Amino acid sequence: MLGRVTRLEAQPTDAELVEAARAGDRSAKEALFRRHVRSAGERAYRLLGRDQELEDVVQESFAQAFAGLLQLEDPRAFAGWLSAIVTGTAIGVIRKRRLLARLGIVRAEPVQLEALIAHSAPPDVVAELRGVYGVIHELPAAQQVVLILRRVEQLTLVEIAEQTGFSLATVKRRLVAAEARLAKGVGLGTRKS
Amino acid sequence: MKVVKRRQPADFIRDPLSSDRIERIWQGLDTREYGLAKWRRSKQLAVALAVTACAAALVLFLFRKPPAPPAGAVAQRAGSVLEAPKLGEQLLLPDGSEVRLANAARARVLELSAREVRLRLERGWLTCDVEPRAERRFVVEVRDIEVSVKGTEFTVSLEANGSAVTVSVARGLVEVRDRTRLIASLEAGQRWSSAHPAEEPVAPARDGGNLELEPKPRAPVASAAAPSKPAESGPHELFERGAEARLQGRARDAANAFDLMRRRYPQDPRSGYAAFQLGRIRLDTLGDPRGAAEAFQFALARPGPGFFLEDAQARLVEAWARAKDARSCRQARAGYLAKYPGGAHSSRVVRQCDDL
Repeated sequence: MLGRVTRLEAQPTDAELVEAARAGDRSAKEALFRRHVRSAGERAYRLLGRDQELEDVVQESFAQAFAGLLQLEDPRAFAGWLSAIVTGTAIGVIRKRRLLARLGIVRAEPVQLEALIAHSAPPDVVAELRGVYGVIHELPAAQQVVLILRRVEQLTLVEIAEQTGFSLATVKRRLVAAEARLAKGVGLGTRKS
Repeated sequence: MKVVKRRQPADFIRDPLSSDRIERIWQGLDTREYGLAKWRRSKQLAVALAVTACAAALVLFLFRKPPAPPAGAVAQRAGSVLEAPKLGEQLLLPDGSEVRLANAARARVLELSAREVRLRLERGWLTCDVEPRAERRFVVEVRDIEVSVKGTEFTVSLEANGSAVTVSVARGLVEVRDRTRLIASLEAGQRWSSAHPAEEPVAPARDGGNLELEPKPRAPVASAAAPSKPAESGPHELFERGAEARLQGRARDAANAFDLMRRRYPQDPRSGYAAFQLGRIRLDTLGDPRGAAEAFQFALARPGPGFFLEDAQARLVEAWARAKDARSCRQARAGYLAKYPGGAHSSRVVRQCDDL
């Protein structure tokens, strides 16, 4: 026989919060923000590889998401939809930064690996991350993002296509190009060492 | 069989967002959203007003009838009476100043011109947030006392039995006069009362009266007309009031509550955190980096739980950088780096102050 069952009050789902936010409930927006801000920040940080524009990307992504809530067909898919917005915003920021660096308006700063990689990372993971983040500054923005989503987040090609909005063929082409550059970088690093 | 899932490289990337940064992002987002909504409402209102005005002009032209007096203008004319139950708790005067009335308060508008705004408080208490204008006096009369200001936020209260007048200043400068002379000149955080001298007056008035500094918590005074006077608020209520106002996007109210809380109750364990919140609001929303630096320094000097101290030290550096104070910025930066080598903000802090 089962014992006494205590029903816990359930947290509102994403879908419920999205519906409330669509109706103009500010607290629902805040709840969505607080629920997803860490994952959005982590995605942005991994894609940018640096801290500087992180807050702007996260804020801009949530602003876009809240402004476009009515366009979200399936309110249950808020998290994935937000991730795709963060990815798109990050690509825009990387492109802008590259352009400004090329014009000499800002300095092209390398990725701060010590700040990026946790101390608890095992040596093979550190080597993998150092390899990826060591070449991204040489890649076009779209290749950089595709490479990080594949190598760091280990998404499938279909998932990468969904997150970036690129076609599957484009994802494959960009990944091949980025992997070739990565192999060259790792080879150079090995020869140097 | 036990399946062991290998962790992804992504799991070994550091979490970049401290709770402080999350709050900052939310404040920016909230302000942005709220501002946009306000702008949209204003735009809609402007279009509606324009259409209404055109329609009214057409009707007037066609029928040559004298225009009816505008609805809702009663409270904006000299001689009108402001009463909390009728008007709600908040009233915006034409000069941009804001008057907040307690539930049972009653005030009469004696003068409302470009040169002078003069109210007479007849019952309860009211709080004024006055737009600074050099050419216009803003005066509140209560019994035979006049409270005059140039740009500030203050509260005037009259006990239910008419026995005592109290003036509290949250921001700016206020002068208290009777018919013939200056009685007291109050700064932010000071309070004057016409009641009998308090047991422990902290500072003397310039010319009589009973002046207190706000940090001294006072015993509650029973008054039907003033159920929630600021003097009756304890540290918990003030802190909660600040937190609630911040969540609702009322940055100035939140800053006032946190400021009052940390000044009145500096030994309360939450005073440091209240000061930290105050600093963030001043820096992120109110554009007051020097005020923010002062609040962060206060927070860092307080005893109490220290979960926010690293954030406070980092934000102190940011505040001095934004205030363009190179020396203080470098001092604060050195303080952060010495105390938190390899801290969560070190990569950002280390680059501050260099451009000053």
